[in-house]
Amino acid sequence: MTCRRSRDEWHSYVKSSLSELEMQEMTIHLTGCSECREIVLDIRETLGFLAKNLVAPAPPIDMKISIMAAITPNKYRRKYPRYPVELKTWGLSMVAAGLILFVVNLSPLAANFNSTSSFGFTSQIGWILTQPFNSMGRAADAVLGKVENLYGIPTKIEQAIIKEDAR
Amino acid sequence: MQDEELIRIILHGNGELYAEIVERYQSKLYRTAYHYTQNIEDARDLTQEIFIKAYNSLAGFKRGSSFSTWLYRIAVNHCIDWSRKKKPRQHEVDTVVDLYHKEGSPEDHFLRLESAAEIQGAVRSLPEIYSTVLLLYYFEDFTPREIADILDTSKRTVETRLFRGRKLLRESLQSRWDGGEGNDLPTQQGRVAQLR
Repeated sequence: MTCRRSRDEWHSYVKSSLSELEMQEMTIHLTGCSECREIVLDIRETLGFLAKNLVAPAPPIDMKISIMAAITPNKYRRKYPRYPVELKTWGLSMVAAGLILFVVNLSPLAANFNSTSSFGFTSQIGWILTQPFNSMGRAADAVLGKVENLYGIPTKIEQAIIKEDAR
Repeated sequence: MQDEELIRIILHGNGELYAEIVERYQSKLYRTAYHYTQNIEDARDLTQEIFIKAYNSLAGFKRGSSFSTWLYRIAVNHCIDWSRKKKPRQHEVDTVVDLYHKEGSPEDHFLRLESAAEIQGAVRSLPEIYSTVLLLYYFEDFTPREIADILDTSKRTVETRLFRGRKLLRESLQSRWDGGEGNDLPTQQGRVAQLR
């Protein structure tokens, strides 16, 4: 071996897997270097020789069926598809929960706002904020009262009367 | 449909489409496995294991890279592990005969099989670092760059191994190479004349 390029990328050259510039440059080198030309010829001959003698046994007919029976087709079903959607839903839920908590925490303050006349505007906001909760409280009491009547459970007033009678 | 697109759909929950991947690569992977096992039963088991392993590792496949290179990395590593652990069974020429395309007379066919077995045996008997690169370059048609990716090494190393491996193979098959039976290659003198 006398040529410094005799161990160059000749295998890549034979498969044309180099850049256009490298291919051109190596082709030019080949025209003036019999040693490298010999190497390229040898690689090409080996390719032809082995391809000619290639033994290619065919896979069994049932190979695909066996493989498909052995894998879990829905292995990736839940992991990947909804990931971005779920993330978005969770994010929105967290924001909504934060807003509700903020509103709930404001309602006790509303009572203080009511007591001082100097906070006219804020007390009005407080009243607005507490209004839905007060309504919900009254509605819940009404429903509870109906349920108690329905099942014959004495109301608080009735219980007080029963206690008075017992004395 | 490209391999990468198929993989994307499979990772979105359509595992049934993996059959298409199996269809595309089963012949190549079976041939590679057979090179290591020299036995059709072991080659079948090995190929199935490779496909199952690849399916279960699909989430680790990086988009933008070549799927065939990724699959062959799993295959070659699996085959090398297998050959280190197990001793191959007796070569099954008689069983394999029916699996090949028959061309010419039965005598020609038998000679061809014999010749192929000898060449494959010569490739297999080389040190592993050479036999693997020769297999991937000459039989599976990968470029040195792709082989470097499969074996997680440099392209320069692959070129060097191919260079030395080819010389070793040529030495071990000298008689057949230099005009032996069933060989159409020119002799050394013929090649020199061709160069002039």
